[in-house]
Amino acid sequence: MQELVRGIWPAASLRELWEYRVLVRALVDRNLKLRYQRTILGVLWALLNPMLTTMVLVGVFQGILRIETPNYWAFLISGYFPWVFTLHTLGTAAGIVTGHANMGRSVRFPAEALVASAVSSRLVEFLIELGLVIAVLAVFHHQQPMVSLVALPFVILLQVLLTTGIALPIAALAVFFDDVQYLLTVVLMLLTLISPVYYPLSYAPESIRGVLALNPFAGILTLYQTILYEGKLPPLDLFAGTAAMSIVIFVAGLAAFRWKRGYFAETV
Amino acid sequence: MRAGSPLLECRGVTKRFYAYEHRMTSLQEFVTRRLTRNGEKPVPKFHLAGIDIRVDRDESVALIGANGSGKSTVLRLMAGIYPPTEGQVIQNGRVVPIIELGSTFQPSLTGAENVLLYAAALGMNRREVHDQMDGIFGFAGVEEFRDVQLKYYSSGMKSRLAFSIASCARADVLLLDEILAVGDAEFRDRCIERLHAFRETGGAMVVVSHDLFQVRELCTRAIWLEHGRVREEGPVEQITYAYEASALAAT
Repeated sequence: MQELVRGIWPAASLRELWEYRVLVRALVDRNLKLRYQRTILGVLWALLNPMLTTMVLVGVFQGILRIETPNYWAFLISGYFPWVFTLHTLGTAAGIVTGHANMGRSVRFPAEALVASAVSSRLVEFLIELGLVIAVLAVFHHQQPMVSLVALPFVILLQVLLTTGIALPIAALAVFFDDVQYLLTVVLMLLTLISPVYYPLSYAPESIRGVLALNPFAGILTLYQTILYEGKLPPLDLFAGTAAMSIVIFVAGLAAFRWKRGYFAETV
Repeated sequence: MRAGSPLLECRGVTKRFYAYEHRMTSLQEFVTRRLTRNGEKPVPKFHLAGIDIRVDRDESVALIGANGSGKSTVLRLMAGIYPPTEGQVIQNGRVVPIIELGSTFQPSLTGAENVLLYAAALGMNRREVHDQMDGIFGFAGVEEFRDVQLKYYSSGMKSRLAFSIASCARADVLLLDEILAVGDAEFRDRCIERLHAFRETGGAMVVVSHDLFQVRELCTRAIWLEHGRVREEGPVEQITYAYEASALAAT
């Protein structure tokens, strides 16, 4: 045990993470405790902020811009909460390796554990939010049991793979370049606007829809909207295409991370 | 004693750190430099060369030398925290570095929560930690502070707790960097006792320390590093006295 494997073959990462699962778990516990321990409402804060944002967004898009999607609020929360999970995860991941500089220089562990802890603690918050979103949709939008939910775990898995696949190289780049964090803010804002978060992909003119669909998150968000808002099982081709893209990006991102991993300790 | 394969071995290890005169830390700079091709050549900032060290079972090796001679870098190479530029580090057992005590400590977590986090970072599992929790707090002498946030600990309490956790790690080789300056005389004696016990059960140690008295008490062999190279190596008495003599001659 313990020998960290050289090379970029990603399967080694998964094995190392399994060996260091206690560390990942301890880091997640710490992240969540630090975030909520001195608050009166505790984890409710994870819900309050997106709930207030949703109310404002619904007001703006339905009341001012007059988007004509029926039950627009239901459409919005179907994609907005998953998207916030990705946004928060990428934002946290960007500083996670540099934020553990001392630990990285004095203890030996796979640096993937840090990114895994960032993803996992955000995932916990997201799953709580998602539970609430499902409850609200079932009661006020569908008013019947949502059979489509059987597909949801697979979509969540794909989103985790895709988001982790992008979080890993960002975390690595941020070790070597200080301006990655600033750049990320800009990129994420643009990505938010071209992703089908506030509008369905079908709103875009036919001519540019193909280009917008190249964004790997377009597939993920559309899958969520199909399952949660439309209450339908997603079409298999959309699912397969998104799955292929997510897995490729995950493997490539992990390989890129492992390629530079050995130099983190002496650079941070 | 020299027979068989060593627990830890450095073979022809070289490590170079590069520095730019103006350290490049922004992506924008990186890109402009690539485009304009007027990149300055990186200069090796620090160079560690030709390090051959072998650590056998129940051996205790001291690394001594002036500040900046490369002691901590050698330790990090042995631990696998830094990859060597050339050469190989071969580990034939569980190598646990104790380089900066309590590097994962979080002021707003309780003592027990911090023990779990630091122990996990040192590779212990949940069961081992829970079994040893009482022992860890007992050895550090902070039993009644177990559920108190770490920010209310004094610095002495924090380092005693950190040492107590680190010395419980399951290890074949412990790499200790200047960590024996912990606590009062009584606590230090207990630390040394614990390290002797660790060696008696077959463990090996590599110790970096400026306290040559302590080094002689704890180690059998010493390696004297100077400007990133091994200057002399041999029995601990001989090497530490030679080092002291040279330090005295220099003043």
